[in-house]
Amino acid sequence: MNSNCFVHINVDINQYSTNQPSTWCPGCGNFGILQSLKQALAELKIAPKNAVVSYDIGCGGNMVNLLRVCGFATLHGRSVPVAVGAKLANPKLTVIAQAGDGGLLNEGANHLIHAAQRNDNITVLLHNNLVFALTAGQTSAATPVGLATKSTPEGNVYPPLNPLLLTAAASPKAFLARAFAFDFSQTTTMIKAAIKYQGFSLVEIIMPCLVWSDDYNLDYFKERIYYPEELPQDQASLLKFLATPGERVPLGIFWSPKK
Amino acid sequence: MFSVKFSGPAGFGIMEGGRVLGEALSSLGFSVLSYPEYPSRIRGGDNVSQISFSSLSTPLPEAKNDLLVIFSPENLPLHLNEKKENGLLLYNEIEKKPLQYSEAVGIPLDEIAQKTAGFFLARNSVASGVVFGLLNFPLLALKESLKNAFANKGEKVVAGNQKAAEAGYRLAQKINWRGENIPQPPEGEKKRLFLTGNEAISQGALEAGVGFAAIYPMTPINSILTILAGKKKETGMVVFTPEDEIAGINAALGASYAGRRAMVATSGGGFSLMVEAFGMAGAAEIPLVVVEGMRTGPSTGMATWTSQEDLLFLIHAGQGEFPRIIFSPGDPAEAYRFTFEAFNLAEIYQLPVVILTDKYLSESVFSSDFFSAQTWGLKIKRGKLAQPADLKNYRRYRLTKDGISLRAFPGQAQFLTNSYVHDEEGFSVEDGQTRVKMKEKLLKKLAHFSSPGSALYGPKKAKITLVSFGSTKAAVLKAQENLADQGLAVNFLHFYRPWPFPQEAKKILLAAEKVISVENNSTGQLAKLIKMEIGIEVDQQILKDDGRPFFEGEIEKKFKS
Repeated sequence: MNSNCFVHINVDINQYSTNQPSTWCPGCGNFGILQSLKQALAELKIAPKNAVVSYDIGCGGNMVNLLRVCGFATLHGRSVPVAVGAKLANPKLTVIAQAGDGGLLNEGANHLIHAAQRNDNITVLLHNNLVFALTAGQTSAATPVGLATKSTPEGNVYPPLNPLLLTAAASPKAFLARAFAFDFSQTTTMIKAAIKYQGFSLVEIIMPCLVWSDDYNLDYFKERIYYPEELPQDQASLLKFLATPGERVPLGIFWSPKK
Repeated sequence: MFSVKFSGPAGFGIMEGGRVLGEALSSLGFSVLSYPEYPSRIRGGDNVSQISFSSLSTPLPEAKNDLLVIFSPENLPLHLNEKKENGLLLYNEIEKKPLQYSEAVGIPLDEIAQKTAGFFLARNSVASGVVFGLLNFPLLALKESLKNAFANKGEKVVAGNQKAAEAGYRLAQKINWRGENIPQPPEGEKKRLFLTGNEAISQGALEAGVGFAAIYPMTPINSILTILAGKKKETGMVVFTPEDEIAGINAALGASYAGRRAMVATSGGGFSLMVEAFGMAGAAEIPLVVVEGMRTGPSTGMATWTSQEDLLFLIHAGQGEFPRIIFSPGDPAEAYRFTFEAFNLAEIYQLPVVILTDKYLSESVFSSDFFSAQTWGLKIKRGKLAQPADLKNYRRYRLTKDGISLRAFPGQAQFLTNSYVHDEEGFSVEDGQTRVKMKEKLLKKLAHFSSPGSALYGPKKAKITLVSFGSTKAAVLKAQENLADQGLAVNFLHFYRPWPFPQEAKKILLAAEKVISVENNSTGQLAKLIKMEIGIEVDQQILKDDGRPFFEGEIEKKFKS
């Protein structure tokens, strides 16, 4: 894992900064995502006025105050359809939808699979912190089995949805990547590739909640994440790869089909 | 008024037949209404098209008919009591065997269609031919109408249907029936339109420059999707069929935000799903046109039948308080005009505007005096758009005297759009002072909105004032005329834009001696709105809520002077 969280690359990322205070806890993975996104936009030379970023509700959604682009704070679960409409209306724009696991796997799961099915030319950044965090820690559709939360004091019993597998099943054309919010350099690379991809792209960014995800905390993931050297080369092995959870958590760009 | 009813199973060409017959009658100069009734199914059942026409007044649906043509014997029992005293009941004699209904006269529609056109589907053209023959109207008008209707299906289909109609026309000469009160085509040619409410709405949207429509199929607005989808290439507009209504309205808001004139069309059920995003249009100040076609509720209700149950729902839809405009056109001309105006007002005031229609207005075909954008001097007005000089230090929600800020689009400037309470720049805020300031800005936009929303028909002063909104317009106008003929001093106030509540209507109602409301619902929603807005109790409510529009004579019957 690359631990240089704030590597300086010679681009101006301040053009994407605002003067607003953040609402995030110290050390939250959202800082990493924000930094990576600014870096990716800067490296791709996308001007703030040409970048549309739609936000879901939740901690990740509060990024609207911190990222200086054409930001649009939408409703819970709806950052994807708003992004789809903006892109259809003006295909010249770079359009990115951000959402948490609640917004993409609970409330807005319908939109995720259909945007993938249509291969809508947008980038979706999934801030996966494994729980409903801003509402103070309830089980989401991404919560691991066994995790005790405010809504499941005896532990969650439902196996979590796998966003990459869902999306892969919805469309063979979807760009698929998994990042770790605390790996700045790799996350930036993946966001850049996703934005450049002509078609639907999803980057699942793992960022365990520092407050509400006790057993699945930063150390848990740091011990398990890895970047596999061999990646699936065809649709069948991709589905098998995504559907077979191992002990470890693979990261990387898993699928970036050439048309 | 003279009424013809076609009935038969779905798939038998009832709707198309009614439309073609209506077109033909309309081309003769009659005022025509083709009113469809049909169950929610693809094949079978009882589809009905009632074609009413008059040379004098606007026709209404009516309970009894002068001519009935039943396209399948199984549908006969449903319509035995729908014949006027001297009416004629015809049915498609598929097998030569006597039926127990002595009053029904068999004619071999299928056999003639097969013999002349070569396909059974031409049975509706045979039926129209029979009707034209019985009325002794010029066959040429019917043949022209068939040509227009089937032109896109090729010459063979046109010729087949025309031959079928001709055979029907000849057959009529052998039927022993002398109709009474057959209207005669009016003198002098007049250019008339014959169109549905949905066609008028679509035309209004297209001429207003709609650039994005998100429509999830739902009765009664489906034909809007069909029409707009057919115009994609010609106009460059985006027609988006979303995964659900929620995606639809959110995508429409995304498109509007990105610079296109955007709309959604749905019914009450779909709108229920859209409500949260309807509120976002209000809070984030994004222009949007919503077409809501009411049908019989609550819940799934009766999917293919009419009602006016959603007025108060629309006025109050969404959590929190935000401004909106609601039109309720009374006929296709108003549907066209106010759809066009809705796109202007949505952009001028940066808020959602609703066109409240219903199954009756959306799907019936009406004669209408010719209209175009020029009739009302309609022009595209986009409101306050930021000019290049405005883009420096641009603030999306800048405070202004009238509450309306300059709009820019992504690509022109960097700015924020926000469904949270936000400051002038669009940053989410939670402090009380900014909240109050921004809420005042939001509500200021329509605070002085004073354009008229109602029309008064009949004498300025009257003993009785009838009030209604939306598609009941023609029925109430007719009732007003009939009551006036009985010597009553009666006028009619029609709300074509019930929200914001029209200022001029307040004055008229406060001065009225006796107010009677007419609505297609059970609770009197317009009457409630009047009470809420000006504190007066309506004296009588005439309500109908069986899924059917008001029929000829019904309002007068329920009226108590």
